[in-house]
Amino acid sequence: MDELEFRRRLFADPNDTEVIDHAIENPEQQGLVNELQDFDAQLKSALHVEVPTGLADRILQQQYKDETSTASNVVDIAWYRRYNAPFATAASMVLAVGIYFMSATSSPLQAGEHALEHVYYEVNALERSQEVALQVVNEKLAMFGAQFDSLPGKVTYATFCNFKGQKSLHLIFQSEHGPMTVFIVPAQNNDYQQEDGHFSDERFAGVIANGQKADTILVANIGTPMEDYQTEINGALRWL
Amino acid sequence: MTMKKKRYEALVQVYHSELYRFAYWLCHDPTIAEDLVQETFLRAWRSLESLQDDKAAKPWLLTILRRENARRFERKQFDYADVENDTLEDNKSVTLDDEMEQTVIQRQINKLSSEYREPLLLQVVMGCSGEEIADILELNKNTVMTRLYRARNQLKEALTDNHEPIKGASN
Repeated sequence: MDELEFRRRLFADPNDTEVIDHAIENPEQQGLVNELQDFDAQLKSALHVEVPTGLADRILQQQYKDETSTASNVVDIAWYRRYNAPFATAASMVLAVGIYFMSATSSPLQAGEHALEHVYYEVNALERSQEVALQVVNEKLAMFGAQFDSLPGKVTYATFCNFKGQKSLHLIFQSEHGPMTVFIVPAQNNDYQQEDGHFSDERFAGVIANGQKADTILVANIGTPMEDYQTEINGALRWL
Repeated sequence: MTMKKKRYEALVQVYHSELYRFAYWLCHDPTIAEDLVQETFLRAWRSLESLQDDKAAKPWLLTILRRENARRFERKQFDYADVENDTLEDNKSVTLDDEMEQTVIQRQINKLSSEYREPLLLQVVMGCSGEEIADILELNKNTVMTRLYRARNQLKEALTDNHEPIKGASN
């Protein structure tokens, strides 16, 4: 190793064992090794910043949240805990069987009715308050090739659902008029009847918009100005 | 607890501090640095299966973090870090002299062009080997070693120019 190579390698990595061994017999080179190692220690200490306390816990916490918002089996457990009674599960199962029956039999169920059923089926989800980041929503929505620029409220639920045999995105956000459910159902292969318009029952009102690439269905408490939200949401939904 | 969770928790415990420091020096903002680290680990969790060998965890996490940082610029949500306006970290419990010296070193590191600064940060802050840095930055190892050499060379020169007046003032 000549002097030039020695210097280059030492400056590139002061802890290179080959270079350090090489310098043992040469006091001058040994001096330079020590100098560079001290210099690195200085750099390291200048670059030392305090790590925020609790960062590791926050990272693990976030991972847990992510898991509960995407894995459906974990959501089931959350329902148990919230109601402390098994009847919620029993009710869900009855509804699940009911909905399966309704989608399996070929009765021409209207999309509005189906949307209402779906909302009742997951009515517990309306109570959620933990925020789902817009980015998480967009990661799911990316599967349909779309993205939201914004939503008019805090998103508290985002999951894929089967909407009349069609994989769709089921969102809930907290509007000024209470929780609002949004179904985004890609337009291909919809076996439900295409219809624009309104539907409601004694508790919820809804509106359906047939888009070119997907239908957007909103469901919220009666008395909510649905059209305003419909315009806002369809305006914020961008197809990529 | 599942195996996946155990493995993930170990990764978080081992690497979160180093990754935070590296992220901090990439973006010069404690809040953004924390976001970057959070986002990195979230993505790591989602694709943990793709990490075959835990020995490769560090370069793997760094690759995710750098990609996240690049996305940040694509989104243009944040302003670019400006060398003149950098927030320089206060290191408490050091003397004023040391503090000044560290500030001077930080400033000089920030002045390095990013092609020299980044390999240096990976080596000094993250303790990455030349091969790992080459892997993360997608360069060949010789290029990495040359850049590391130049980075230290430039820093040493700049700091010897700068060093004297500070020491002089404290005398």
